[in-house]
Amino acid sequence: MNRRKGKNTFWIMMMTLMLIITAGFLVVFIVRIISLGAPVLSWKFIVEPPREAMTEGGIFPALIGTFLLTALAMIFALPSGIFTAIWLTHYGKPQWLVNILHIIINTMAGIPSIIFGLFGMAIFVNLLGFKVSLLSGSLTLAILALPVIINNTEQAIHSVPADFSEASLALGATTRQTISKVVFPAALPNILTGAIISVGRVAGETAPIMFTAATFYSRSLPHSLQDEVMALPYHIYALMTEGTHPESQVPIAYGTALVLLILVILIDATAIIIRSYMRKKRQW
Amino acid sequence: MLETTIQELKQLLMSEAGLVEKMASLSVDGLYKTIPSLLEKVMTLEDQVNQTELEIDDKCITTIALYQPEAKDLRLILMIYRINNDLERLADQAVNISESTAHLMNNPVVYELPELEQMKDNALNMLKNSLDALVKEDVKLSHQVCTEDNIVDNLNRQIYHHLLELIQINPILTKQYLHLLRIAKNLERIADLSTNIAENTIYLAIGKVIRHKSEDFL
Amino acid sequence: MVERQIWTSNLNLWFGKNQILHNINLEAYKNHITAIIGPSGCGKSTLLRCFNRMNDPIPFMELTGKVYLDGKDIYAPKTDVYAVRASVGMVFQKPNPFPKSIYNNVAYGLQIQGKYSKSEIKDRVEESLKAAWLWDEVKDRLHHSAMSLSGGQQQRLCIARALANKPKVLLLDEPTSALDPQSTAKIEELCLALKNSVTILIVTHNVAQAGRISDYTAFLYLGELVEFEKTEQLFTVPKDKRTEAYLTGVFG
Repeated sequence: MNRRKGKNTFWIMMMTLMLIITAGFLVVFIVRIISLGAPVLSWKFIVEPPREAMTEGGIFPALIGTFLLTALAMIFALPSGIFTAIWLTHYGKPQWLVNILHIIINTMAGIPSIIFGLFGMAIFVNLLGFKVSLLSGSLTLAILALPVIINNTEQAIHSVPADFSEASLALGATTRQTISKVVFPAALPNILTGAIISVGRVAGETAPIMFTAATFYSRSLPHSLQDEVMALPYHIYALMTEGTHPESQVPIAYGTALVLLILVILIDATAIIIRSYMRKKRQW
Repeated sequence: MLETTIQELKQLLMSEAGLVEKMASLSVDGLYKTIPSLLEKVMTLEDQVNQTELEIDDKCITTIALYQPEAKDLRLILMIYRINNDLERLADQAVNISESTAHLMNNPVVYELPELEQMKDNALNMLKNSLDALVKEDVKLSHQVCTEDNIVDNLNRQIYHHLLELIQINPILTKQYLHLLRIAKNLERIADLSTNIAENTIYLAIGKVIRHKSEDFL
Repeated sequence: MVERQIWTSNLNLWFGKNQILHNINLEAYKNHITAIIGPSGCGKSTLLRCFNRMNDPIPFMELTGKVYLDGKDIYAPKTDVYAVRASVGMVFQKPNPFPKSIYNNVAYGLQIQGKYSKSEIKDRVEESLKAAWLWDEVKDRLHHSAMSLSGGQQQRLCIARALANKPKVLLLDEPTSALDPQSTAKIEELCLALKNSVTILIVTHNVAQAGRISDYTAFLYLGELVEFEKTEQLFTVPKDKRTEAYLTGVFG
């Protein structure tokens, strides 16, 4: 009896230790970024463009760039991802085709993002001639986000009890009506939270936009889809690797990182709040 | 569902009881006044009783099969089944009496046996009371019926001895006297069956079985 | 005079290589309640679902034979299966109202047809809820969620929902097996009242229930229609030994 108690205590201690180490890393990580980036942070930092070869000023263009890239990527990815998921769950025939598509989608979800970047460059920038632009970048990001959105939407649809679909069909509804009036509205909260989380991920990707959209410096804000853009993650990378004046640029890089971090945390927090609100309201 | 079916059974039983009462009084009335086509009338009523008897029989079985009644409902259906049976036999007794009555109509012989009239009144009264008690589930009245059975039994014995005397005095009228004996016997059966009905009514009302020992029952 | 409303003719059904239904010839009469009884897993629900083509979406389902509704084969090519399903309503074992308001649940069948005006729908909803003996309990909260109702109420809601389409036939798949005895009794009485306006086919594993409410009973065993008879007859003098065995509890 005491041996068992002893073993139990031992394991609890081990797990507590692991928890402390993991949490510790997280805390150190965040504290470091805050301490290095906070000094640079100010309202001007956010709304002003960089000056003097990136040694002064703010990150406004990069913020705009990230915003535009993410928004466009979502505009491309969400509808296509959701409709694909609907097709896969409700219309997919024959079964072997559906299985193959699932394999492809899951493989894509695991492909390193740099390869997406190369792919984007090869297809959008060169083959289709979109050049390094907002268009190419957001398309590349869209493809990156697609597998996650498809999987998440499929899961959301599967989590809607089949009872509802059955009842709908038994009342004489077509599959399309069942999806639009019963299944999709019921799955929407989960689809939404998945979409929001995708936004957070897409905003933070560097590799896909490196060769397809991002530029180190642009004089003005983007006017059209063909323009190059600055972006927050790329900005960090560029400042740290290609910067000519590290003393002033490294802090700016950390400041940018902090902004990006806060952005992602805010987005994820929004998603979590929405999800728990939806869970409380959920009626089945 | 079950309640409506039980109501229907009760109504059928009551209508059957009504017919039987009518048959019984008709059959003995013929001894004391002229009733044209007595036998015919009684036989017509008997047909109706038989039909109703079959109907009730079938319905009881079906009700048990379909509804699995419990407690009071179960007792009720089983007692209806039993009483249905008794009523049919009562009808038979009435027919028997009518056959003898038909032979004795307008025959003054009847008046030599005043006990018969008393017996007839008692038996018919018992029948009436037992059926009334059934409708109202009246335990007291039912018990009263059970105790009156003795009176009728005594009258039956008296009539037997009296008829023995009468036959010795007037052997020519033996046939008529035997008819009278038969009638008395049938009246005694009517009293018995009425007692059965009363006992079954008591079981229905309070679940106590008093068959074969009505004297102990309070 | 009994008139056939919905019936099968040499119906066979397979799921893949498994034959579930063997040469079924079953008739249900207008404004009567027909019960389908039998041990679990012998195809009762599958048979029921043939009457509104709810087996169609199941993969590898194959069916031969015909199912007639008022004389028309519902499996004939070019049949409007959606119209069939509106005409042959179904209530499931577990109450499954939509996560919508009570009103929208009942109105659903009409809304999807798109040919009813708002006021027509409103009237029909009230009519159906009254027919399902639920109106008084919910008339003051039609826009509350259907999920706020108790189990028995939800099932009556599902009945109202099916009735909104004014179906000719109502299929009930073990509608009370998930409910408490009071709700069960209420729904049984409701069925007896409803049969005057709609033909009812009910699958039940509760033999006593079939005895209480059905006019005709079909005994299904291992996918075969063993016996079909007036309920009184089947319950007192069944013709087939297997029926007798089932009713006396030898198996199932």
